[in-house]
Amino acid sequence: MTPSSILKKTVMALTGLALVGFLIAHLSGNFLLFKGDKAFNAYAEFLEHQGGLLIAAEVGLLAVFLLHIYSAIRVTLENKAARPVPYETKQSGGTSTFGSRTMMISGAIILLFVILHVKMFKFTDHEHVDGELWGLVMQAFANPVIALAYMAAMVVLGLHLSHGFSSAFQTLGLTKPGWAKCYKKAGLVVGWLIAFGFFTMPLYGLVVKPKPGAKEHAPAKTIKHDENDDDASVFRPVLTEKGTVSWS
Amino acid sequence: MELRSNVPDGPIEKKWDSHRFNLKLVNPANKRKHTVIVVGTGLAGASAAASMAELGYHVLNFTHNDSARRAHSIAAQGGINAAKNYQNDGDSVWRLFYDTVKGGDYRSREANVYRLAQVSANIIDQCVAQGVPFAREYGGLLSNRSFGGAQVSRTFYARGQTGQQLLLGAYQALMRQVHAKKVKLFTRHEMLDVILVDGQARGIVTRDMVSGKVESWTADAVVLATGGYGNVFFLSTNAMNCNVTAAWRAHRRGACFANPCYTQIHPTCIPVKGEYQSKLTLMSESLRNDGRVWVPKEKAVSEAIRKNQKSPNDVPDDGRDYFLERRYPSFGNLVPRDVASRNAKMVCDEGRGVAVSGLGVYLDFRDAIKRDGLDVIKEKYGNLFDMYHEITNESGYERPMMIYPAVHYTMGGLWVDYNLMSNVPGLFVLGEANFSDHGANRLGASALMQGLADGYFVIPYTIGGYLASNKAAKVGNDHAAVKDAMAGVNARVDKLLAAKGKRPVDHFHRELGKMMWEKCGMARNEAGLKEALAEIPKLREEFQRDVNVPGSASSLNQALERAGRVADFIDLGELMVRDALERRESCGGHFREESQTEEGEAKRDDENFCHVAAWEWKGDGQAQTLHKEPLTFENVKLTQRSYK
Amino acid sequence: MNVTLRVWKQPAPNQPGRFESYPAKDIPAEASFLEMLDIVNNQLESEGKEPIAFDSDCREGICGTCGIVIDGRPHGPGKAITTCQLYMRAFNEGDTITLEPWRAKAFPVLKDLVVDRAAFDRVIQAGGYISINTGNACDANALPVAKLDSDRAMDAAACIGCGACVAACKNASAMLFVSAKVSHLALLPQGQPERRTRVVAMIEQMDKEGFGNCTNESECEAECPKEISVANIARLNREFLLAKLLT
Repeated sequence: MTPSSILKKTVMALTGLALVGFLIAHLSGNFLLFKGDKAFNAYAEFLEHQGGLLIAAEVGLLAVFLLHIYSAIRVTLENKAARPVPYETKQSGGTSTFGSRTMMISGAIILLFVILHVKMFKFTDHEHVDGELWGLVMQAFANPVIALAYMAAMVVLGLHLSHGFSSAFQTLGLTKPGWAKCYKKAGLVVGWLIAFGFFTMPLYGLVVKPKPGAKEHAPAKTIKHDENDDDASVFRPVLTEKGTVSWS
Repeated sequence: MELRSNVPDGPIEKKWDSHRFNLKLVNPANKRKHTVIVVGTGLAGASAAASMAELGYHVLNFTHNDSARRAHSIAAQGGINAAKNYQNDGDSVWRLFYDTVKGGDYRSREANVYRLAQVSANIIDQCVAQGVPFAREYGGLLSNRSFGGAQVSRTFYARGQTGQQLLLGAYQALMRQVHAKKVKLFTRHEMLDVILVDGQARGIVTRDMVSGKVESWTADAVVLATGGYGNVFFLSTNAMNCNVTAAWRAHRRGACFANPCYTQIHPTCIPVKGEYQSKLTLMSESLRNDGRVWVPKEKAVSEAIRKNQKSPNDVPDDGRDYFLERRYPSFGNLVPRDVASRNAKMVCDEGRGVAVSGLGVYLDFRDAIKRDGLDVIKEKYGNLFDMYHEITNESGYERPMMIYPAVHYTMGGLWVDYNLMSNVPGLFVLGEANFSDHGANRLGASALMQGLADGYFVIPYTIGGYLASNKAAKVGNDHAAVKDAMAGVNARVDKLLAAKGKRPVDHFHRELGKMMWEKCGMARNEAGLKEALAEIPKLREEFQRDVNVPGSASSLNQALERAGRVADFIDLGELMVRDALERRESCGGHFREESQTEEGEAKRDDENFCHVAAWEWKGDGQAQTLHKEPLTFENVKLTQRSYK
Repeated sequence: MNVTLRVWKQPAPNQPGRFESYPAKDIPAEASFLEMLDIVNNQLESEGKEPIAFDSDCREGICGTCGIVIDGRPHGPGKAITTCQLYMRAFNEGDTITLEPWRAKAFPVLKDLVVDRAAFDRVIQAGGYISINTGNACDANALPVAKLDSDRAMDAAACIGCGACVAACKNASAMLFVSAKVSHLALLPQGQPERRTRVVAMIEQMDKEGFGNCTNESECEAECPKEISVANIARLNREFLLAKLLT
């Protein structure tokens, strides 16, 4: 038996809310970026030392993420099938928003972003970078292309959350008559606030270009970089001698 | 032929109880062996089909609409009467009975009306149990309002959508039975003939309006709940697809048509705008509770208003003639519909009307707004004001509304006895399609009551009585009568398609309507009726020759549907005129100019016309024969109606 | 006034359709939109041509029969109206007006602008009622209902089943229609005994009919002639989830 439409939507809503929860946690932690390399790197290290717990959390997060995507694709396919002959002229009654109409597109962009983001900051060795993870991030953001791409992605995230967040409450029935305007606005504000929070980071990196604190950090070691690496994906980190990273 | 009303003996309060006891019963196990056809899914049809299915009968239910929920009962706005006496204002079954007989101008059958008043209370209980969201007071109990012609508050309502809510209640009950497979529902099927076997109604012929397929259905009894025939006037408050075809086909098969000339003209409709107009819109007469009806005292003032040189708001109080309040001090604006309508016509005939056409009077809320505040009026009538605004592009809050009478309801219909069975055995007729309960004029909020009374609380008993005492062999689809009826329907369809003339169907409908409105409308006289009687056959001939019905019979063909209906309306129109001519008295909605008091009120002639006129079909091109069912009044004294 | 109509013409179900142009000449500005179509059709019929098939009945906005997508808007421009309540004064001289049927897999086109909305009936059949046989009722005032609940039930019950919500929704979802009936009955004490089974059965049928999923964009509410609120959809979701959790 196929799950009912509302059940599918409930999965969307619950996973969406879980992801929003993750975003809020992620954002709170990331604010340490502004405090400097020490605080941030200590936080990162703390997380990395959680071992199994971290892995469990990451697997859980991945599962939630995939479930969210799966429901989205399924619901969208069904929605397309529900109107086999399209209208020639169709106008909005004025209640849908640019954000609500483009959830699939914004979702796809966010997915692409997340893949690159994880590859860039999670699966790139930062131990030998000047300023460690903090340094890796800040050096990346100093690159205008990366910073602007990040900021653009955050706008897309805001767009996605501007509809998604309040929508989840409607789907879960966690509203009541008379609240409609209220929760829609609240969803809009919270969604954009989260996105704006993240937005400030590449902006900070790009504009301020902060340097790691003048402290006794170990001289950069040369990391072995296989010149013949075929994995020539975008933004490949190249470690320079000064312990900074440039992105090819 | 003798028309037997089969009214049981005994005192009027006991008639229905003793009759129910005397009716034979169908054993529960045998009920499922009986098939009953119900045509129509309005209040009467849906409630009948659902209730009979609940009892165990196998029901085939047909509607020409795309869903059972679309029947025109849905458009009733005002409310439904019931003798609950919740307001402690002196209402009782007896008073509702009395008011209905009096309101019907003593041309209804006492026993039927009493039963209607008796079961009225059960209807409200049933509907509330179904979840009909009637208006309530803050204490959670039901709210009532008073309605045209009544001095007690006995009308239950659901905002301005009472008919809708009641119909949805009946529709949901019906859908439940469809789900239980006790009712087989056929939408977009139009009934085009009744099948008679050995003089008994045993089936119908329908046309599938999508595929065009003509099919026959057989059963043990046929119930028609197909509504009224107000669309004979072309312009009426009826829905576009309301028609007389089912009733008329039954009439042609021998069912007598009773009192066809009794039509109700509703006083509070939005005036006609132009030739192109397709229908008239009614505004609930509940508006008359707070609105005051007036026209200017001076013809010149009316003229200035018509030419848009003066605003009605600028007419001072002493320049206004609140003619209903003036002429009927005790009922004022709440006089029955026929009286209110006729008075509006009178002042307009004097040249004091106000719409562009001169056919309109004001319904003014200025004083009510001053008294209760705008919010209260909005809360009570908001949707009606919105509707008025949509149609006329004028605000009823700022400028008095304009109203004019329009055809709204037809009291006449197929003749039925106390069991709601026509003179054709096995053919039952419910709701507006029959003639029985409203006499010559129907009171406001009584149509919903009658439709549901017939469907929920009368037919479930009386159908059993008929089925238990009429054991007839099953009729197959290969029966000669079935084939004959099918062939007749096909021939008729082919004939309509074959004419290929120059004019659209609507042209003939409009012509018929105009003639009926002018000669057989709010006021009728011998000369006009005779003219109409001469003109209608010409119109019929012209229709047959010059109508153009494009398309084929084997697909969805709306022009063909309309053509069949208009053909029947033309025949019905002729009978209405004949009936109006024959009834040389004024009563209720039938106003013969020759029969009026010195003050211009309707004057009955009880000596000669205290009867039901039931017309028997005699064949194409022949005049129907008149049969009279005398009306006796043992419980209500015949008096000249007075609302002074 | 004079306008040009571009009308979806389709001879029968499952046959290809296409747009055809019709001139509508000398239309009185006070005429309603459907009266304009009557005028055009009368002209066509007198020329022996097939008229434009469209559904309409009460012509006062309550029966829910009519429904045309006019210039991309179900029931045309204007708020809280049905097609029959649309007047030609909403258009300008010389306009070209596009007329399309409701488009949804669950509402197959029967002819031109006429669609089959029997899917709605089947959803109601699945449970959109209170199971009470005629004659079983107790006295109407034996069961007081708080005015607020009664009013909210009435707000929901005002749905006319026209299908504009489905037509307006980019996913052809029927959630507003279903939520209106579920809300109407769930808000009333009479509806409590079947409250849980009803919502599950109706949603099951709704899904079977091939309607799309709700994506909470409220386009249905914007086009609903009776302004049924999407708060009912939230209630439907809640009712459904609770029914699934509690039974």
